[in-house]
Amino acid sequence: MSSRASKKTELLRMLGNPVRLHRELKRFRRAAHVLSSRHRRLIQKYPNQWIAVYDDDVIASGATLDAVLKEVAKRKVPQERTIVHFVEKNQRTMILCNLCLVGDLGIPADGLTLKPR
Amino acid sequence: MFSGRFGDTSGRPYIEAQVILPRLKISSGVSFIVDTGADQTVLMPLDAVRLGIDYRKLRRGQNLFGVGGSCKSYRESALIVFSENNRRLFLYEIEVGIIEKRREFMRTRSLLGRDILDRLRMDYNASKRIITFKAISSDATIRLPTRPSS
Repeated sequence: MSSRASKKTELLRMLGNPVRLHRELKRFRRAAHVLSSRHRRLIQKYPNQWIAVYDDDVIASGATLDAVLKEVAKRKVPQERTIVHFVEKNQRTMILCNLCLVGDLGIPADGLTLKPR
Repeated sequence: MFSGRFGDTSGRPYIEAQVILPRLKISSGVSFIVDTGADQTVLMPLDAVRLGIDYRKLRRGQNLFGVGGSCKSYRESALIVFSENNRRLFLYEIEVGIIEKRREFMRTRSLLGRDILDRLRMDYNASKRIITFKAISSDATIRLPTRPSS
């Protein structure tokens, strides 16, 4: 078997059943889309709260991430298909650019220190 | 072709993928922010906690640097899978970064970086709220069985 073919076999082994995976991903996407399509309603109902969405429904809400994850576990809902999100009443501005290795910038791992002259 | 979504009121671009961490026996959906400024794909602690990743089992990676400063990361071999309608799965084998658990990162979504984005073609139309991707290359492509027509 060529190395390319054996690599593909290895990847397929890691993947498991592709049809099942596709189905699971589809359900997860449906839950994620709820965050986009119903966001205004979610802000009204759960301002500054954590929520967990499974399929089309908000199945848990609370003030802390831990509380919501505990509720998800209690309901025996698969966490891998549940999307957890903090519903911010006032949108934060986030700048996420330039996430790179510190070494690439020539910055010491423990950060920069400015020496007084 | 597979599509992403524009998020809530922020308008951030997202895409959902299945993340498989074979060593940890974890397979889960993750919603990523599409971030062309990120050199590598990272799982933020919100997803790491939800996926049940035990940080004690992780291998220490390099420090990562972003606008907010530097942070510790861990590295793990991962398979990132996208699904194209009901037709194909695209697999990408990468070393994913897992960001340390810190309070200020807990509300931030995981980032899909250029280690994967460089292998996709992205059509980004924010005014129409359409974001689509076409795979230029992948480590493996799996054709899904078509349903027999009734």
